Amino acid sequence: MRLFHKTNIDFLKIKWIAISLSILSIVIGTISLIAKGGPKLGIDFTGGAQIVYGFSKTPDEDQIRKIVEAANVNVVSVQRFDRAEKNQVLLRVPLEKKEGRDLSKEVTSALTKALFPEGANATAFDLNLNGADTLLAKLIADDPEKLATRPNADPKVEYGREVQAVIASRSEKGLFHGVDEAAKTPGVSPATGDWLKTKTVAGPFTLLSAENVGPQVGKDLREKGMWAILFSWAAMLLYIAFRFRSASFGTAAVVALIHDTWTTLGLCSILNLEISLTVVAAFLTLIGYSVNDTVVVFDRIRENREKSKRTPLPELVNHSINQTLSRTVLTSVLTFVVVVVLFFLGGEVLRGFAFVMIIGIIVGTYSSIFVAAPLVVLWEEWKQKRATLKAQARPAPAPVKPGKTAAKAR
Amino acid sequence: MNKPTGWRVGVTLAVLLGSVGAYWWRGHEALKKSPTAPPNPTISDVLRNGLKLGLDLRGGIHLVMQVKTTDALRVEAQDTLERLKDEGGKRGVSVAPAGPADGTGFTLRIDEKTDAAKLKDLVTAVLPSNAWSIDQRGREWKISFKDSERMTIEDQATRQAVETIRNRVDALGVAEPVIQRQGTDRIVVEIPGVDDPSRVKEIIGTTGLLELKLVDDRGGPYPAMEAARSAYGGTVPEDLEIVEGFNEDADARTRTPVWYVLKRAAAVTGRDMKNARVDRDKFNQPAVMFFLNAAGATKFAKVTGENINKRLAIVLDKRVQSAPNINSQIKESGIIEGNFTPEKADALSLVLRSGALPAEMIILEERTVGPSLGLDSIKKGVLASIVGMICVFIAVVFYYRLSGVNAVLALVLNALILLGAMSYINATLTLPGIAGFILTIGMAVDSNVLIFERIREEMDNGKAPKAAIDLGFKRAWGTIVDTHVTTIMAALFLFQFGTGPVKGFAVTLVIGLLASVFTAVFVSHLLFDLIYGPKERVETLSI
Repeated sequence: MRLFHKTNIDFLKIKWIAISLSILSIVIGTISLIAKGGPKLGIDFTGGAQIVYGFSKTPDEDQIRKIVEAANVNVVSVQRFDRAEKNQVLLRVPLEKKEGRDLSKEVTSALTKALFPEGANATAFDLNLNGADTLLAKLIADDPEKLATRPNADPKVEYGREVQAVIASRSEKGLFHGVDEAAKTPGVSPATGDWLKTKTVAGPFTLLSAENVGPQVGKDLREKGMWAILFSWAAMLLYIAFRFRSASFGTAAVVALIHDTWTTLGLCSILNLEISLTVVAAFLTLIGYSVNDTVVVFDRIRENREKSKRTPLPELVNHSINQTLSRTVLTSVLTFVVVVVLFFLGGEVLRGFAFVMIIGIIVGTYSSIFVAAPLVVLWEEWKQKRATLKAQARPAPAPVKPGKTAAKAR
Repeated sequence: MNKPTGWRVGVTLAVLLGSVGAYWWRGHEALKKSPTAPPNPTISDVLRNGLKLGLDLRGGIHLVMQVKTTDALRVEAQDTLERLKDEGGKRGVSVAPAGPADGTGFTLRIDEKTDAAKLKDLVTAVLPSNAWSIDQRGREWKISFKDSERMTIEDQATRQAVETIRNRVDALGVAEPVIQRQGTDRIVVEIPGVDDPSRVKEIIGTTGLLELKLVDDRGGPYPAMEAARSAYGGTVPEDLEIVEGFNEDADARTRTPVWYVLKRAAAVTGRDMKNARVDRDKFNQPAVMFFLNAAGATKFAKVTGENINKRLAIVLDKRVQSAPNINSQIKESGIIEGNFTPEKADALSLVLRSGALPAEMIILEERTVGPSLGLDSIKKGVLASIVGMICVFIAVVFYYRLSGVNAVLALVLNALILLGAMSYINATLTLPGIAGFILTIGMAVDSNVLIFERIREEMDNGKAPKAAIDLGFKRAWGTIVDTHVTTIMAALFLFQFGTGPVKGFAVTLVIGLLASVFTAVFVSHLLFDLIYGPKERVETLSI
């Protein structure tokens, strides 16, 4: 099967339309960015906290908000997380002025007090809120299987295995709906099962994840992310300028690159997508991908130029784009399919990443054909024009100079 | 074409076996190390343990902490001031500080009675000139740390904090913790498999500074800080300090906040501690019993012997836990009471055993992922990888027919090399890393596409199939190098920028792309040679 077999599309004919379109999209994106006061940064960059809880029953967001605010913790939002049937809730807490407040602990204990009063008791051991190592320590201390009396049994290993089974079963289920569920875990001995039933409780929620970023780390990451993107632009410029021994190729590729990054950033701003660490990772990947796409076209231009030096540049560029068109489209489609799969199946955390890649692949493919290549033509034509003008303005300079200029302009 | 294929087949098989073997070996190693591994591991057990999973996948806690190095500097300045006073006392030179020492140093007051020359001699004798600078400004001498000394103390404090935290984390008994210093005063702690962040933070973050200080004779405790101050006429003398604590009512069993006035200099500190364990106090509540080493016991015996019927405050992290009366000389042990739960008492005894942190710690960043969320991410990631790969495979075979099968084999080998290499270098697979894996498959196919399109072009230009294959590989090579260099360059910036999970993504991407150079160019070419090489004449290619 072949698509784009021996095409001969005049891409350069619409270069002004394409360039206007690009400028327009950049302007719209910039307006959105300015209107919203910059991109919408996630807690990785602004600081603040984000806590996700899983509940055994459908949670009531308003109730949760009231409980948490009553415990003297500010709340930005309480919203459902992931698919509805998972009963998960994401809590956002604004940045604290002082570093080091243990927010997840405060929120968890406030929720426990309000939703599960028996769990707030100092002696209660909540299976849904305690980790493997605390459970193990408690089991070893209580020793329901009386392992201490047996000569060659290591309680750490014996109970360790049972604890792992219990925690693995909890991970599988999300959380225990009752202590009986925990006691029924395969691999748990009857004695330990009885102990679980009588000595532990299973509260109505579990802590799935907690992130708390202080102002210093947020600022560091913001700066680091910005520098990483700026440096990668510079590195790409240098590499391409070096590889193609031409400033025009390097500049055109980097202009296309900045165009891709900026357009995608603008779209993120319009769609209110939060910029997290993984989203910045997507931006850097996109930078690599976008240059990759441009380089393939440029490589072909260089090759064709060596083969037929007399062909005028616009024709040469057009021919090169047409020759590489099927590759450009096929690779983009394949990568696109992959990131679309990631968008739908990869889960909540990777969705922002996948989204930026989806946009980036579309914009990147477009820009290597309609932005980067035409820019090379425009630049070279402008250089030639300037050289001719110079030659006309100074009819009789030193004999070496015109030769040099001519060589450059060619 | 018709090049020797023997050694190339050998190299390919060796890489394939090496990758699978590395993964298998790593899986076995990981199982051997795990104490709770099943006695007879199945194949799926081994496969599941071949890759080291990041905290975002296996669950765990990631902390970035800052050592408040000014604490350590202040303590050092205070100790130096005490030394200066002691030495001054021996020589008969009065040393009068103008205020308490702080993180920059301390100030001495000079009045009419001060013999400036003698004081100068004393200061130069006690304080090494490479560590301290003395600024004589009329009636006040400002004695401060030199930069090099300040940096040394900060460095030591951070190093000591790393050591202390390592001891405490080791005492928790979790596998493979990471405790790393970052920059001058930051420490990164990563504890996999722990899903109880509060407990970990309590154990790591508690300073654990134990001081035994005498309560001043004038009495107390006072119900408010102001009351304590006014008992001393507004300000307490230099050698005393006001510390918050609890007053316990034995009958009502309640504790109300009160303020004690204590001697600033500690009689004994946690540095002289030998051991600590959980015990019970007089209300049969959990408490922590501590034991002093020989040096500490000597000091303790002296202080308690000289101060019978006075009160001794037990100060933990600048808070008076209790202030019992000294009834008789005590030698080597004491008890710390507080309203402890059994878990809290356990944590505190662990903290005391591992020694105090040199300074207070501030948690700058905390990321906790519970095991169930991690498991969920793994499931989603694996599903997305498989679906993504199948989509690419179908598309490639549909578009390139038999040559597409060649590309699919190369991609499968690419994925195996990626897994094997990651496992061999013990790289961490993170959730973004899984995205990197999927993306690598999408990007690696680019090399195959570049080559195949070139082969088609060469055939369009009238080349015979066999020649077209060779030319296609040859001409696409330069472009493949360029595309890989640009993408890998971006990934390196990513590595530089990222924290754990994002670094994992960069590593996966780089390894995957390097592997794709090998599979798409070397292995694919070999496969073409194996299929078309033996034939005398090849009329058409399935491409």
